[in-house]
Amino acid sequence: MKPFSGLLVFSCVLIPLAAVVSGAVFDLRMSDGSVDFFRQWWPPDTTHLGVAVEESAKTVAIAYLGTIFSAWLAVPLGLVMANPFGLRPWLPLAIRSSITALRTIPELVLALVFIVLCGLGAMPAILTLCVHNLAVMTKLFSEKFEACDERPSEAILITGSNVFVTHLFVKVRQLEPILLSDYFYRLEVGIRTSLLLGVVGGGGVGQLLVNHFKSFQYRLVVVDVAVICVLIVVLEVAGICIRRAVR
Amino acid sequence: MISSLQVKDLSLSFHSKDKTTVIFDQLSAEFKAGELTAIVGPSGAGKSTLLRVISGFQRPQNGTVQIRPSDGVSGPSREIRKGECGFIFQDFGVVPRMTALETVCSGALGRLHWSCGLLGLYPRAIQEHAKSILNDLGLKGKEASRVDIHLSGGEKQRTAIGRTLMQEPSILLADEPIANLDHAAAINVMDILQSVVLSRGLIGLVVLHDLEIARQYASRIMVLKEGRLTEAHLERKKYNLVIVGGGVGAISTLHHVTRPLTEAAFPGFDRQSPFKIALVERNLDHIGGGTAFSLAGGKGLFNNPYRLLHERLREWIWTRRESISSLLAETDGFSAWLDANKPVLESAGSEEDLAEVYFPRILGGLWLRNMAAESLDQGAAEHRHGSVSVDLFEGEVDLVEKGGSGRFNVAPVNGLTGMAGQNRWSLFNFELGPFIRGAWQDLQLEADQVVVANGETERTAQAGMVSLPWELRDDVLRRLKKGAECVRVISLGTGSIFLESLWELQTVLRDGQKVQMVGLSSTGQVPMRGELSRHYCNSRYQLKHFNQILSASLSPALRLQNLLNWLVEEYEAAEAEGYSRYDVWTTVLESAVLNEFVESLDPHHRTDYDLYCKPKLRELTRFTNPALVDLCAELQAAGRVSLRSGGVKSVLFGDEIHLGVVSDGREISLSADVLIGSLPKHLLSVKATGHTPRLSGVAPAKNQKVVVDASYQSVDTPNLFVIGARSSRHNSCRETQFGAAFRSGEEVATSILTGLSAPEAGGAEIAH
Repeated sequence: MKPFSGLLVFSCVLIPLAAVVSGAVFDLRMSDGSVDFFRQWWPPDTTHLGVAVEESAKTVAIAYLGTIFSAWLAVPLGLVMANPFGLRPWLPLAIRSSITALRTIPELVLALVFIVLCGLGAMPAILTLCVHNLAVMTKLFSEKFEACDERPSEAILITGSNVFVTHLFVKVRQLEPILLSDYFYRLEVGIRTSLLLGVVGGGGVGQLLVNHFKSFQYRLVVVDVAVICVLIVVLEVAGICIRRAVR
Repeated sequence: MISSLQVKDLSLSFHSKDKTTVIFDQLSAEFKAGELTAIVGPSGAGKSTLLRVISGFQRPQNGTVQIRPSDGVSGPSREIRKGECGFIFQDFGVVPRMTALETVCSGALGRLHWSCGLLGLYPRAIQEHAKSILNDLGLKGKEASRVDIHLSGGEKQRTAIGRTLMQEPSILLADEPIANLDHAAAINVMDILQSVVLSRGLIGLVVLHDLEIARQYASRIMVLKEGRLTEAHLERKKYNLVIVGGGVGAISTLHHVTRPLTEAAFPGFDRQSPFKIALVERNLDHIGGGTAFSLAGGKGLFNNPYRLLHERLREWIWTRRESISSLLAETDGFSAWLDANKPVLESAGSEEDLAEVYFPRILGGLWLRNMAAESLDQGAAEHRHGSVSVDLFEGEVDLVEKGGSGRFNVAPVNGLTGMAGQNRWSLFNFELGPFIRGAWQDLQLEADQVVVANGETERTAQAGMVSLPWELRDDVLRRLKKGAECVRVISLGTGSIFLESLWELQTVLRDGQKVQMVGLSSTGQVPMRGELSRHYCNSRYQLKHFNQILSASLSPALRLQNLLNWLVEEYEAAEAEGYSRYDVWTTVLESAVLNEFVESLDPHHRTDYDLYCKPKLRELTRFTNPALVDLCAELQAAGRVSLRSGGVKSVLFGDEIHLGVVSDGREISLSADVLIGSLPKHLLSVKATGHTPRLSGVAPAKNQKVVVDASYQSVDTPNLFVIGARSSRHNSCRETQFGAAFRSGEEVATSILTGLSAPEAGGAEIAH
């Protein structure tokens, strides 16, 4: 087998098939008014720039609040799930099955449920992200803990130190950069998700964008999109910096 | 404190689909406090698993590990054992991203609140303790270094040991602690482990794969094989006394001074056991100058206080040679002497500074031993100059790094210090390495045979054939008693000692009997010559320059100058006595040595050389044989010969060429370079007569064969032999180049080398 050959075959056969099945082939035409439509987007209307920035800060805050609690919770949960202590298997298994179950619920569904429970605004978005990220990060972290070198933990355990605490701090110490990088990835995903959640009323710049779009204020939409782009880039850079500092 | 660890009926086997692997089969053993037990065995034997079972990481299927009498049948639970086993891992087991200080602090976690570890915050007292531990382990200044990226392997392992020290366990388990370390770091780590176990009275178990290391460090060795643990018996030679001393000079002087005295002083003196000299020294730091300088790589350092001390020491011993037995017995006189000589040391700054300069390789071993002794009785702060004596244990060999001959030969010799422990003698160095390994008998000398030696210590060690000078001396004695007129000895590499030992032969010589000796000291590459008759011993004469020449503390240029002075004086004396040819031998020999010297000179010394040595060198040329010089030049030009110590220089003697092949009569063909290069191998005495050496006109192209007609059967060179050893390089040369032709020759003798002078009678004339 040559490298990529499997992938190539897989792609060549399935791309046409998928295109046909999805109906995309038959949609390869622009609507007649498309040029006019895009003309309405220019020039950008920057009068609402301040609002857009404000709202994107809100988005970041939502994403942060929606991930940070999960991250703290996911560390011990992930460790128990990885089970380096030789616990009876029911506890890790219980955690594993519950987080898997949680992960199966689409975020959108969660968001709709929380909107009903808490009303429109940031709260349902934060809760949605919390629940979903707890599930995802527990899984991610536990995989890292499983793959982690056991020797340092053993070396500390032999001193007579508390078993759970030892595993916890030794592994976290060891994996800190990796866990952080996982976290930043989830934060980024969280921001994108919270943008989407804006569509269903989750607040933040996502909601702003949808509102502008739906009220045909396309010049404002351009600004919103630009702000979102900048936001993502800034976040990426910040993530790199922090991870470099922690390495 | 736990005094013993008992493993009873341990059984453990791993099951896989189609087979069962038995790791332990009713394994029982007991380990005592204060013992360092090495566990060796084939890989996969379960050595590491045993440690894991003892430490509680792994549960056995059957059996108990009992560390307290109260432990039940099921063995101690994890909780009981926790904190009581220190564990040193092969891969160090340091937590990545921790600092060295934190790592050491974490050893205390067993007795701290769990939050300390979690938060990485340790009480100030613990931190201070950790700092002092790091300091003791030679890691001062590394406290804030990250263990995973800033520390070397050896430092990581020392940090891990530091963590264990902080833990203060009763049992120290080490799983191949040195497998990932280079030799120097490994020695260092083993030194530390050993001193920790012994000084703190821990139960020490160390898994090793290096049996030499195990022999060197362990109190006992156990072999884990087929699921059982059995005691391995360390075979140790018995010695009469322990050699302690600094440098060849001191020892050789001592040897000849003390032997008769010692025999008288020690009724139980066993002639069969190697002879050892004890030189009582109270502080490990005072090491003789010669040793110090070979340790420091022989760099040209003047006025080394250690050297001065060493010189004075020798003097001191010399003046007390009559009462050597009392010298051996009591240390007080020596201490007083040392005190009197303190200013010598003090004038040079702190000992530690000096040690940094002069003993870079010692620090790990000796310094740490001192440290261990210090930590034993804290408060005895004056241990540097004080009366700290270091216990040496059976099998322990100190300080064998970088010594001249000791480096390669002493290290493998265990048990040398067997008696040091009970006498509480500090061992600081012995350089008598080549003479301890007693392989002289392996040469199976027959009378009147020629044995060849090559003087390079490294090869000597590789070839594993080193001779005991006193055994050689006995051999010479035997020959003399059989009535040999003249016994000649060429001793390369062991020259100085043998020369010294020759003296004692004087009393047995009859009128007309002679012993001649030419040698090259392994340490100083110093040429020496001795001749002994009933009425005359000129090795004294040689000894006059011995100190100067051997003195490795001199700059290379000064050594060279001394050498040349000596040569000129020697030659003149020899000329006056009517010798001619073997002086030329020496010239050739020396030209190699000189070349080495000159090549090794740095520009600064090169000036010295030009100023002082060149005129001397010119003076020397009048002793050389022009034909020989031509031949040398020719061979050199043809790339056949490289004049370096140990090889070709032994080929050409005077206006004769003695080339060595021992043949059983078959014709052999040799290329000139092979022939010459491997001369010390095989005996032949193709004696080219006259002033035109046989090979002078040949200068064959590379790999071209020169046929040498070796139609003689044996070489009759009466009583000439050479001690030393064959080099492995030459061995391989023989095997590849000479093939079967020499196999039978090997049985007859080893090789050639002649040249003291033409045999007065009976030299083999070879028909060409």
